[in-house]
Amino acid sequence: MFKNGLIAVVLCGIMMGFSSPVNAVTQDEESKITAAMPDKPIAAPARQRAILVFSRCDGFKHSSIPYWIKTLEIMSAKTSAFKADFSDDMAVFTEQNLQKYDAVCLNNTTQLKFNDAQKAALMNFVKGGKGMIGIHAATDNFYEWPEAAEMMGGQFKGHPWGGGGTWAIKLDQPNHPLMKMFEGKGFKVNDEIYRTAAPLYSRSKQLVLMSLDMSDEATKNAEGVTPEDADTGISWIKNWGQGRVFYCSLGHNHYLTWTPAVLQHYLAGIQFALGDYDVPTKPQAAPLDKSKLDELVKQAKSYEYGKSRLPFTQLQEMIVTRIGALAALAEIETAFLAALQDVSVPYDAKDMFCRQLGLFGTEKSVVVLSPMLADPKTSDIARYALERIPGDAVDQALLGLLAKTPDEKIKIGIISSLGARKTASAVKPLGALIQNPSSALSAAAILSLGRIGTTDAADQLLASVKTISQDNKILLLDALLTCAQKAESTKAAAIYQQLYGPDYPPAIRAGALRGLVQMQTAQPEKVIVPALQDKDMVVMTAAIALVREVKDTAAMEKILAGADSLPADQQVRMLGAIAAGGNTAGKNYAMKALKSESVEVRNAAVGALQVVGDAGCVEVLAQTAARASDKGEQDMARFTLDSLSDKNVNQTIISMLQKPAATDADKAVCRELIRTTGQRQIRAAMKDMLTLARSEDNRIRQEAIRALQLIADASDLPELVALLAEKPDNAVQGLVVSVIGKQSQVQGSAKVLTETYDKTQNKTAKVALLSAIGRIGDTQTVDFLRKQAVAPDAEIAQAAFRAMSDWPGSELTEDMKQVVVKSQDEKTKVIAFRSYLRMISKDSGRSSEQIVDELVNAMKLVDRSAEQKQVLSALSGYGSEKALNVAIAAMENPELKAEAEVAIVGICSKIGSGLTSTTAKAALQKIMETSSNNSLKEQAGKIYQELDKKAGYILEWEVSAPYSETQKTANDLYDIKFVPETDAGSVTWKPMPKSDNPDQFWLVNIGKEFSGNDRAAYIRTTLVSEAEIDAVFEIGSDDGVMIWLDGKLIHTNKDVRPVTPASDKVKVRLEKDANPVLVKVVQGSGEWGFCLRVVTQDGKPVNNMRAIVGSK
Amino acid sequence: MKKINRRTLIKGSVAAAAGFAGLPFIFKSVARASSPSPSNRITVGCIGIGWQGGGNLDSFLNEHDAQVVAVCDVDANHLRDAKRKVDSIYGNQDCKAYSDFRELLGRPDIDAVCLSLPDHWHGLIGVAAAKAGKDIFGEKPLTHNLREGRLLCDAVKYYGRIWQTGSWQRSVSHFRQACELVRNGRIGKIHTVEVGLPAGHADFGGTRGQETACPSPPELDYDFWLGPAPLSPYCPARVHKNWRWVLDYGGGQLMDWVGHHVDIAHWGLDMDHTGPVEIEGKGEYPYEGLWNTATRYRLNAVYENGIQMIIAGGYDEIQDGTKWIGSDGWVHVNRQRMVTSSETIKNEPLGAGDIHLLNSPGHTRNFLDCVKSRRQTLTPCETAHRSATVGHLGQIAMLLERKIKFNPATEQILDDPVAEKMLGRTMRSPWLL
Repeated sequence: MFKNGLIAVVLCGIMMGFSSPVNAVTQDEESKITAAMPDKPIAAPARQRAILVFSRCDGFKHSSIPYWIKTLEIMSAKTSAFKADFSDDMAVFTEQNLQKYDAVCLNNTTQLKFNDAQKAALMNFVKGGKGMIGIHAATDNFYEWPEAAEMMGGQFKGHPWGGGGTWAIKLDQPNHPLMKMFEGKGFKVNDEIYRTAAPLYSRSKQLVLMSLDMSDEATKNAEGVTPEDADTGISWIKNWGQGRVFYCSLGHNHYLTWTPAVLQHYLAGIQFALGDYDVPTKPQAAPLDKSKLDELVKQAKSYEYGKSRLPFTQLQEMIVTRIGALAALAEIETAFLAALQDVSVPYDAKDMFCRQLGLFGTEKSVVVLSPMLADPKTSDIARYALERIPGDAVDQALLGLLAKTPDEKIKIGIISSLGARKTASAVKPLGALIQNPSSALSAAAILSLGRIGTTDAADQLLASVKTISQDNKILLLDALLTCAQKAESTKAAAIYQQLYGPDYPPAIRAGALRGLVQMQTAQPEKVIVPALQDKDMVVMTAAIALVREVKDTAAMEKILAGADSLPADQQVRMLGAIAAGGNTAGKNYAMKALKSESVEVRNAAVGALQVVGDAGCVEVLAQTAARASDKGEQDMARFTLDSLSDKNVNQTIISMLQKPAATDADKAVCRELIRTTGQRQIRAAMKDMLTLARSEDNRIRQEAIRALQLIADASDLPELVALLAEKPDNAVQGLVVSVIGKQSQVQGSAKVLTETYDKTQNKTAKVALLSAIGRIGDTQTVDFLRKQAVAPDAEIAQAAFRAMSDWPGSELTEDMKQVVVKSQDEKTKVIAFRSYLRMISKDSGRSSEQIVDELVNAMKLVDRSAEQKQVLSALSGYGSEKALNVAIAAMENPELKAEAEVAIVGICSKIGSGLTSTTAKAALQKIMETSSNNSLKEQAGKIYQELDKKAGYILEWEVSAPYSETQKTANDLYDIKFVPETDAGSVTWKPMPKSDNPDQFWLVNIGKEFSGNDRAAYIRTTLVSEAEIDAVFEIGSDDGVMIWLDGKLIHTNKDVRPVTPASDKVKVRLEKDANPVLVKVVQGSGEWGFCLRVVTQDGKPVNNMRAIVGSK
Repeated sequence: MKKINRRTLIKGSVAAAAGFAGLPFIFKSVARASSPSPSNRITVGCIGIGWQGGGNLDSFLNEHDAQVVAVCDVDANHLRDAKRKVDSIYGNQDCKAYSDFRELLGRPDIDAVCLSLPDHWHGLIGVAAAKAGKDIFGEKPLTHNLREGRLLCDAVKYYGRIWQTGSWQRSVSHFRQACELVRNGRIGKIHTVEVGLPAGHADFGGTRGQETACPSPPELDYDFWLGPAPLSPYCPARVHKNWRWVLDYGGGQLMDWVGHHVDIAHWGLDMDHTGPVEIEGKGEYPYEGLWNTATRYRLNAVYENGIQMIIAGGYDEIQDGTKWIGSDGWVHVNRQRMVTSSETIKNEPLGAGDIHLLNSPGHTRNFLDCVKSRRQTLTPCETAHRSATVGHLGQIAMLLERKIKFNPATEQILDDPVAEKMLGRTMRSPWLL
């Protein structure tokens, strides 16, 4: 829809239009806007101008939007300053379309989302010399686009000043051309005022034309106003690249569109943005509000420690925002100095004034600060200002008082400041203090001379080297070293030379040594080599540190010449320096050191080769690894071998592998090379590995098979299977199985084996292939195996049966069962039965109840006690009443009694939730009385007691945790819905270990599994009830808890408390079969846990119910 | 040497109670008599045995080749407990207790020191220890301000000392693995790093709100504790554990954590020896109360190579820990875990040609190994200074509310004399550096 006959624009096939109810502006209001509108432009347009007015809201939508559209239509028509197109379609932001305009006007847009191309188009548009105009909510955008937020000069951050109130505005630039319509006077306005927070909003980045007047009580005290709102801009302009930005916050309330001054202000701002109105844009600090300053200083003067710092914080704000505005700062300085001279102002306040004065004070402050400097009570705080104030007057004041004051502590303070200021004229007076009888004063003078560091300072220090007291000798020499670092080279060299002399303290000699090396960059070894033999540890280790920094090859070689004959500890350091410095000239020495008798040296050498080693080191490292005397040494050598980064390393290894290994030592090296081939995953060595896997030497062969496991992938299977056919042993079989295991899909993976099987005639190979097929468990080979199991060749049939019995899955359960039932061969029966039992428990398709049933049946299939024992052992893993009955019956059989007792104890210990069985107790009782196994008796006794206590407690849980969000406390997290609550994503659950504290067996101890404060955990279980019952959940939690039963929220408690059973009680109805329970527990700090007991309505444990985890 | 009474208590007016803390840095002897061989025990002195210091002491006591021979603290209770612990572990009475670090540093038989002090003491005692020829295990952030950090680095370098910073995350394998992924280009070219730190003021010392001036407890030599910091009356909220919330002694959450997550960010980027060229940000500082460090903050630093680092505390969108974002994905690591934008980024093992960072045997262990081998530690002084620098500059940018430009080579702030002033601080007499 296009308004008022303006040019219709069609772009990219999309009609511009917008859905705002433009007709919301009444005829009467339109007349008022027209009447208030200026009838000519403020500046003559250089040419026909065009504005794209954009009015889209992806966030809050202002009702004033149609008013501003109407206003701009009327402005366009009445003043002819521009033409306007209107849109709310993001598609307008293309480079091509924007070319038609001189400015974009964001009319109360909110939360706009730009794509990258749109961003580039708009940003290049403005930066390239066009305009950006923002009305009121135009700053409520660009949250994902910092550069645009920066361009706007502020970003919406609330509006403490609501649209219903009347707020005061002051003119910051009353004489600016854009402000003429306000006639130099601030005004009050009934509108909503946007807060646009620093640092985006800043008077150093834009020229703020008017802002809120905080001297107005109502404005200052509006609800939600903070001290940071002291400067809240209303309208501003700025340059942005070659372009211009104008923003005005007025425009929430409709009447403003027929307020003449506001319309004139907007027209002027728009013409500025269009490039027709050339006005000053240089940012300026807000003019200093003298009365505000006086008020703040007045409040600040009564500051004492522990009282409100607010006046000082506000003064700091005032200062910081005016850095560079000299006149304003001068006024503040005057006010501060008056406060400092006021005897009634306490020390505490003066301390704060001085600290701030240090930031902006000038020489004008010296007069006031000098007497404070001379007073022992205020001397330090005076320095907080003086030390940072530039200028000679400060130095003069410091030096003047240094000469005069008798107070040693003041003197030391002054000296410290002179040093920090690097005051050159202080050198002489400080020099005179070097030999002062006061050790402290002398020390201070020396330190500050070092900080000043000039040649003069060095001379002063040098003059006292011989005569300085022992106490301060080190300090003086150290200061001298500091000076030498800045001195010209002859002077520096002389100082270093002198201080390196044998009579000087080791630390100083160490420093001087570094200086000498720095001067001797061409041949550092000349200095370093002798120092490495220094008998003092400090000097010697400093020399080592210098070795690290030697980059020159020749120098390094000279330093290391003969290093292999040094004592072990020194070699360790030298090798450490090579490792730290990475100079490859250290390689040869490190290789030699690998043969040292000292294990420390050998290890240090391996460490050095990690950094400087190359393909040339492969052999020695492999030898080191091969003959290493201890595991640590071997591991280090191997790690280095595995991580050598030279690109020729792999090729070197391959060529070495191709050489035959004759001696035992050679073979050991060969094995190391094979091992690293695997670790380095050298696929290029595949062929060599296959050869070595056929080696006559068994250890080499085994090593090669291990390496193949690391290198080979599915594409190598044909060759590996061929190897298996040729060398049909367990190791190769394992290799084939593991390489197949690397594939994500088992199904179909064993095809290559069955094919090879059909082709080969070798029976041993066939047997091995069958075995591998069995271990892989590819369901497509089930029938193949069944067929081979009835093959006429007994050996093949037997192998196929063995393969089936090794089957990892449960597909062959029935096959095994049939063998048990039908086979005549006892041995076969035994094997089949064992596999049968294993497969039953593997069957993920069965519930634990079905598994127990199958095991109970299995018990009936066999009559030998050995097999029955196996069943009992399998049953002991299930806390099931049926299992229990079988075990109880087995107790009667003397051959099975011991095994049955163990099974009963196992079963009873797993009877967790709900199941109180008199049978269980009786069985345990019997064990306690009749068992010959004492420790089992004891265990049975414990479990007996626990059964009573445990009744009804739900101990089987899965957990998913921790969930947290930055800055959110437990209290917040309670209300945040994480994935387990919403089902909005996948959740990882893991079993929750049961409490290992017998006194708190009921505790679901989340805090033991997950640490940290302010987080949430979810736990879940499924209660399986044998009947529909009315029950009560008795709940304890630490801290807040929420519980869902079958997806319905049944309980909330936000309390912060320790876990106490039955803190909360909730009536629930449990359905027959599955009742899923989900619990959320939040953690503030300290302990973190939960407990749940399910009882009947009269408080007795619920029977015939159990908790099962792992199911939906 | 003048006899000094350091047990001056603050009573009533602060000015009246200005105690004279003693002479800076006087060591009778720093020559070390013997050369210990690598197999001998390394003798250690622990200075500062409060909160972190207690843990550090334990870690030295756990190392077979370290012998803690001296402890030092200005709190007599800390000192007594520490000596008791050391003696009970070694089964003798040999550990010497000092209330003045200068006496401990003056002992020629001590090889290494462990410094666990409030930030405002890091520079002074660190420099003194280096000049005394000690190898040093020191805490993060390296120093209280940038200028002291430079002086400390220079002293450690000049005297050839081994320095390890307590940035122990470098010794935790999943942090190392994260850095290795970034270093080896697994996420392509890095353009942004997000560093999420805690916000607010945690009441570690249980002294929140105890801001009324009162006499310091008899066990604490409060004037010595203040040392170079401005003289202020004692109150419990100012000292142990909570000093970090007062700008005179610490730097709030930002400075407490730059030595961890920013340090890790630099490690992953192989940018341990440089710093930002521009930094700007917003800090929310309490207007009231003793604790005046920023409670919520967000900084944007730009490095010379164009990498942008966002450091924030209290902004939900910046997750706790370090997150490198590159052209091919991202890696995020914090104390709990490492996460990558896709599983393949972390599952593929490092190959032979890849960069392997030092697999630390433990942070204290690494220090002791380096004392023997003279290799660089995992977190040398210069490295710690560079991570702290980001925080120092950030503090200034936030306090002055403007963008700071910085030359990492000269360590000078450009075109802003006021900001430049804030790189150092005035020390209370008679302390100076």
